[in-house]
Amino acid sequence: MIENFFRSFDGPLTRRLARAPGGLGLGQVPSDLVPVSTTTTVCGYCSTGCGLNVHLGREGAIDLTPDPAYPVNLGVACPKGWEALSVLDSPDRGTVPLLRDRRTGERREIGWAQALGTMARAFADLKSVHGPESAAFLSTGQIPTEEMFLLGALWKFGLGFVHADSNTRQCMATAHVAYKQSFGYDAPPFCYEDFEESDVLVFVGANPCIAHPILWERVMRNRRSPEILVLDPRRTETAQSATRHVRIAPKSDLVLLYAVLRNVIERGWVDRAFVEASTSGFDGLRGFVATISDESALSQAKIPAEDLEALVQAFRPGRRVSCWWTMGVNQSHEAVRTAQALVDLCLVTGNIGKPGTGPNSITGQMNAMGSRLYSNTSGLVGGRDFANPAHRQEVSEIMGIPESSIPVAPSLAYDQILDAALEGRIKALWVVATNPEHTWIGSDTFRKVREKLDFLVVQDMYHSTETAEVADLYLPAAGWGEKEGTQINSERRIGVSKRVKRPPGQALPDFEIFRLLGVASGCGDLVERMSSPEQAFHLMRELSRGRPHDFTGIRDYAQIDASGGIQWPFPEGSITDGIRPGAQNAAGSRESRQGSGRRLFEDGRFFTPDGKARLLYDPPRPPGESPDALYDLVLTTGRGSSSQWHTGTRTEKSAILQAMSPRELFLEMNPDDAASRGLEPGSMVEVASRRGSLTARLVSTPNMAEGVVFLPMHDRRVNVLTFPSFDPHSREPSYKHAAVKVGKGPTKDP
Amino acid sequence: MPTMPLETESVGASGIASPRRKADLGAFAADLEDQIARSIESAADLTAVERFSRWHEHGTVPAHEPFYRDLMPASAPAPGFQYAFEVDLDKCSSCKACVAACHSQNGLDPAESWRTVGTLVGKESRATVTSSCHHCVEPGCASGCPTLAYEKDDLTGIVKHLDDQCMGCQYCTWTCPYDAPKWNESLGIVRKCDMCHGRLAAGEAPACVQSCPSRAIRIVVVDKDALKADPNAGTRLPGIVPPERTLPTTAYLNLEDPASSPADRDVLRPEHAHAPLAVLLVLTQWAAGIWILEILRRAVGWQPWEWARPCAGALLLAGLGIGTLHLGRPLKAWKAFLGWRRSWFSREVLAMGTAVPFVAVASVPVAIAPIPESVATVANGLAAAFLLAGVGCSAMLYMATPRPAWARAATAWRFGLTTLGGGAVVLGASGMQGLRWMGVASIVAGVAKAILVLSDRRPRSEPTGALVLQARLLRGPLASQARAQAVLFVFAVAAAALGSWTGVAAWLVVALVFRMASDLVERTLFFRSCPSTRMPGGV
Repeated sequence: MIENFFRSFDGPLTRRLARAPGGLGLGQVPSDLVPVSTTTTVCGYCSTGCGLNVHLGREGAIDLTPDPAYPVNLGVACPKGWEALSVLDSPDRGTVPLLRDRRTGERREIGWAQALGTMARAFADLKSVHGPESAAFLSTGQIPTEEMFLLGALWKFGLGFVHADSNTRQCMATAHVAYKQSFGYDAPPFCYEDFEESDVLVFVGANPCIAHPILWERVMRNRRSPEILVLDPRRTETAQSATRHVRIAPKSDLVLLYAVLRNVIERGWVDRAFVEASTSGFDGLRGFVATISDESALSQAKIPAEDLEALVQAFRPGRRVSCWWTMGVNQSHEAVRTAQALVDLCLVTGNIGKPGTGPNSITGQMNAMGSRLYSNTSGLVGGRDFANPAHRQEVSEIMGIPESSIPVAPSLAYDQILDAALEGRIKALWVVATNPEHTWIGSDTFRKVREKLDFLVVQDMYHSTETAEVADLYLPAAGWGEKEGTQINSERRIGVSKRVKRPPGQALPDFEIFRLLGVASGCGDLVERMSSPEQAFHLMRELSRGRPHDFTGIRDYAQIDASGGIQWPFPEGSITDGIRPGAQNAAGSRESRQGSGRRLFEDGRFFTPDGKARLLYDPPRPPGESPDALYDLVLTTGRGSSSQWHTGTRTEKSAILQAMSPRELFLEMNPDDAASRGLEPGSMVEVASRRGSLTARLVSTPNMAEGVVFLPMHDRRVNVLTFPSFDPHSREPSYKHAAVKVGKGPTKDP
Repeated sequence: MPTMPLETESVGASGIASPRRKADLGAFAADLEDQIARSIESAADLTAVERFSRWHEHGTVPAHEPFYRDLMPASAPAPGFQYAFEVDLDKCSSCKACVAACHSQNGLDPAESWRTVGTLVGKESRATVTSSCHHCVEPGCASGCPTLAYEKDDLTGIVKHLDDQCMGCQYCTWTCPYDAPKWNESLGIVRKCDMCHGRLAAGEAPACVQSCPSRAIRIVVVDKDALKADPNAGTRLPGIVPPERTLPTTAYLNLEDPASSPADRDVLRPEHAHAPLAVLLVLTQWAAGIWILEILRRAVGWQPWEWARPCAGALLLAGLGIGTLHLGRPLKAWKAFLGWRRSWFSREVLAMGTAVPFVAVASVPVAIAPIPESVATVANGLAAAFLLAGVGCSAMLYMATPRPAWARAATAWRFGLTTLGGGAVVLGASGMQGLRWMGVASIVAGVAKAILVLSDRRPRSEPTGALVLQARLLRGPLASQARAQAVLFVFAVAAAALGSWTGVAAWLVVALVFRMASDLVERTLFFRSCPSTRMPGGV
């Protein structure tokens, strides 16, 4: 055709999209992003802990792909992992410390020396005038363990303060306390192979399809045609993929699980030998659950009897049953007992310590477990207790610090710290890599705290988080990928995260910031022993000796990296799980890596003094706030999409993740509820609780039961509505139950 | 380094730092400065990564290959066959990794991905639908493209976009029923999924196939003739354009509820206003109207208006000139005729472009260039023919899209009545003979068009569909613009009526101004209120 003469089959625009062989086992890559080498690292969002293969150019990371040889994710990643590098380039990144000017109220740039000097002085002054309980830090599950460890050690052993907590209080505190009370140690017993090895998987308050997509991938690999039961007030993506969705009324999980327990016990499906040898408290439990009738459980859960029967049948002998939970359980007014009801169910049926079993907490943040073990906040470093003199002595000896510098009392919990700040007892807060202005529960509590504080320091990658915006002093931190350290995933796998990119401007790794503050505060001796993350790791390793999480068998970072992560326990003398396969047959060896995961309690011995697991229970209580005539709906909150992470601090910096996320805040509501209120689908509605209100777009969906509405947590306004109640054991806030009303929005629907 | 006092700020009870003052941090100060410098230096040091081994140092076979091996066809398509995506809706867990991987593995711009994910909502179920280009057997993009910037590969069936051929008219984004071509504003061109053809050629899987944790996307080989015989064997989902039109090849397996509908079915999203196109349409239609009516005026023996043709010519050139502002790559506009065999866009350009020289010749006043009358007469006739053809092609351009709000006779009526009404009001405002009749003609044409415009706005009986959305858009987010247009129109009609009644041309000048404004707003609403066709979206 003559027309072809006028057609451009090549040119600069065509070449922009050219792909070229990437080499290095990569397949084709964009031709302007051909790497010179690659290195592996572990993702820094959630606790799945996926391996990522970072493509390196001459000046660091240029791209990444999921690591096909990592035993966790087997070559795939969720959108957040794919976009882990792009969120590092943002105009919102902090490049210099910012100090708020007292006269103008504006933030101005200052040098590190001035910032650290100011901070050191402020804390020293506070402590000398108001004592060691006058300041606290609020940290995170989002930084490497070494950084948490250094921060906690510096704060308590160096600066001599008492109070500190972490945002893991908002996610994993319940699992931590439940395991600790039941097993004698914060010890999630499972490995990811258990997803593939179960005959029955019971998910309670968990939506892995959206929140942990790569773990759902492991479920999909299960070749045993498993029965999948999902207990959730919403018909989530996971509920839809299940063999049975038990759509319980919000916060009816505990009574329902007790009814299941009673039925299981009554039908004689108890593993007598195991219960006898390895648990204590069975008689009490049996007596207690005998008081929970099917009728009361069914009426509270608002489910048909066949759902209860299916749940009971799930635990009939001869099948491997695993129970998995996340925030639907953890964030509740009776969260610990709910998690322990699942623990109890697994214990009495002997579903623990064997393939495809276990009461298994899927962790939220990428290093919640590192925080639980080493942040020195609620427990003394290395999973110890402040109140235990022997523990204090061990730490003092291993760390070479005077025993007197170790506080005897545990810290206040997150909510108590904020209460103390409201009362003026705590006058300064140091917020590290978390965003309480957005996340804290109930009606702008943190805003009121801010007004009362004399000094608020925020240390974060971005100067633009809601909390950083209201700080007196902002410290620019390097992010994931710009620093190194280890993190521990849900299956207790320690992984290494590496520095593959330079931090912007003068932003520093949190580890360096802590060290420098130590120097500025006269704690040079303490921080000198931790001159690098890997040195801190060696100290952490010593602190693990003889503890249940003993990983003294780990030589160094390189060994962890080469092994594809190493699960604790890994005491001295252990043999590496398996050396990462080499270039030739990486993916082929991936199959051979199957079964490398290890689970706890195979010998039926637990970490309690008598070696027996405790069967714990309490009568169910009503939630702190229930619907009434005025506020007639239950509001529950949760993750909105797989492309959004918590407050969006990072994920909102990726244009493509934004493009995948809902365009605006939406409220999910049952169509009948919408119709009875005269609300048109797609219209703007006003959602109000006793604490405040917001407007959102109405999504009318049969996925919601009547009487229940859902809001995603990624919008700051949502926590204006939530009701601040807390589990008495874990002090974790209950984001899943508040009374609200919904009416037409202020503007007329188009 | 000597010990030096360090500048710090003391923090007062107000929570805000006080003016700086020197505070002696003693021995730490020098050490601190020194350590800060070292920390900043070490933070920028990337050699640390070299402490670790690197994998696949010499790997040539992609390490992912075993993962996707069985998601690919055993061999390349035989003649009459082509590659296609196959999506198992039951396997998809909604994670959207395919979207991220398409973006990242193809080196796309920050917010760009050729794959999108939406939701189909059923009574008791929902399905997540991942989609990109369906590599249709009869691609709508290619049949619309005026520059022949699409190429359907004979061997693979992949519909490739020639990025360097594209002039950025975005017509393919209208003619594709499934929203596969993606407009890239910063580059001024459209780009789209090429099924990672280079990867396929090398035996590798496309990025989306490689990245799906649930292995829900695979590449299969389909028989093109079988698809022609039974289009439903290809892409059939509720709430999208039926497959007969373009024969899309992506097969979606295991849809639980065939009665489900897209989650964004009722979401009101005003479309782009395309102001340059609105101007192009209105001005060229007015030009054609002036030209034709002037011929009619002279035919009935009324006194000729010497400025009618130059005036029409000026409007035509202005319309075409402003219209090119719509193009992302206006320098490539000369290629726009290449698609004349298939594309109404090319035909519109050809018709209007061909009209230009004839309009020019016929418009030159005798006083300036003595053109023989026979030549001028022929030019006049040809100009009229091409101008009318241009208006016709404009109408067909929109009617040929899969958009229900455009693909109806009302579009042709709308454009025709604009032509008549615009021409009449201009000729009336000229103050020449027949002024009153021109005023009346403009009113009649205007009222007829107003009925069409108003009928788009009225609530409809059917529960859903593009026309329902259009009506809701016009009553909702676009209501104020629609009201403004109505007010301008009423003023225009009132002035024209006064002009016709009194015979005073000045009223018709006033009518002309209001009518032009009214028509321009009407035409932007024509764009803004027309719902696009696409795959199921999300909230």
